[in-house]
Amino acid sequence: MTADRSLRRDIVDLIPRLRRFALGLTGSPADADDLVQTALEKALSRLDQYVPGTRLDSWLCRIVQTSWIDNRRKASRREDTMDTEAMDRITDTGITNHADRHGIRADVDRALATLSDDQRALVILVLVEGYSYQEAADLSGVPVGTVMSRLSRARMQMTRFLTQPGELA
Amino acid sequence: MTRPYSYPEGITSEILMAYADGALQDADRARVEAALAAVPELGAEIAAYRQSLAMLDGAFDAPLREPVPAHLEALVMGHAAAPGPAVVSLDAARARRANRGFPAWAQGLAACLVFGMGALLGSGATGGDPATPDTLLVAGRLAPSHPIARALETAVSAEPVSLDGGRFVAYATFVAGSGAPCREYEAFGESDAVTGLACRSGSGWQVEFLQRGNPASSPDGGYQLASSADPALLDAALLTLRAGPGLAADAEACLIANGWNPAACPAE
Repeated sequence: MTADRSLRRDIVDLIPRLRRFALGLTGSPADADDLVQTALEKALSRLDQYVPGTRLDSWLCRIVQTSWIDNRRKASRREDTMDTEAMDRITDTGITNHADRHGIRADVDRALATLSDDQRALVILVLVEGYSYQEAADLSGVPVGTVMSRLSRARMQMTRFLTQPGELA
Repeated sequence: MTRPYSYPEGITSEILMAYADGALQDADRARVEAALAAVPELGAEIAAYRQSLAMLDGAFDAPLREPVPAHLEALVMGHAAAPGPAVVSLDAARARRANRGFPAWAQGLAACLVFGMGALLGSGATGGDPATPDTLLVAGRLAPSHPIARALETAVSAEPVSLDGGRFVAYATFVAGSGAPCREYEAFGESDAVTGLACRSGSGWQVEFLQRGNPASSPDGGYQLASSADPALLDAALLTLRAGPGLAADAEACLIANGWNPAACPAE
């Protein structure tokens, strides 16, 4: 009873970090809060699966990450029926304006938009949340070697984009 | 990705990244530095990894400076309204009351209702004698046999029970700052209608707040309690009691089943 309450208090204390992680994934404060809410609902429904003594932040970040990937898969299934090239053009402008409105730097948002979902999740886990490669591997359920190769490719892509902004601007 | 140079033996993109991140052991770090001396172009790649890290530094930190959104905290702590009537919230009860006219059976009693209202904070303002002709207008300690006390003891929130020819409805159960379980209720009788707050101590119920009915007209021709016209007094009383959130139905049921002993029903 009391243990459950103290666990819930610990979860509340982690909400600011979960919101930062979700903001990095979605690039939009409103989408981030929806994502955190979905993830918290999932976490609460399986609170018994959390192993005391293990890292609560990793457990919660994993739920946020899988919830986000789920959302993205559903969204991409819906977009499959649309003209994807036109979608990309709309999204590019949309993201820029959106980012400017919410105080997320437009260059950051555009650079992250060039990544695949898996790459983006790793970039945010390691570069924003500060997880080690090994922790990110454990959290994502992939080998550490895969994490490192995906992450290095993603980071080179982000910076290539930065040094050639004219191509997409 | 194509490079105009090749990596020296034992050097990979991953090792260069780890070097840029300061994640290498001494031996590996020395190996990268030796390679860097031989192939200076590697320096640009290392700089790019560092640039990607610097670029994201603080980029998404706004939530760290903001308070935790109340709805997310409530969700985690279990205060959020569950689907349906499983959770009785004070605010919801108040909203229901504000939207509701006097029951039809009471409308003929308009002439009997007293204009104005009395807000009796504290105890004993009108005495606690159950033999008082008006069953409802009691504040302070209630005898266990008093009809209001009996109703407070057993009624489930939002389920009206009959009371000496009138009716009693508990709207919510909450825990006061003192730790005592308390209830917000309304009671209608032959000559009056009241909203009250009563708290349970070890020995019985004590009415801490009582607000008398006011036959203010409502749009449908019915009558509303004074509290619905001016909920500020009730709110002030709830503040004075340092009322916690409304208890969920199962927590309330536990208190009813255990004679209102909070120790038998720990939070959560």
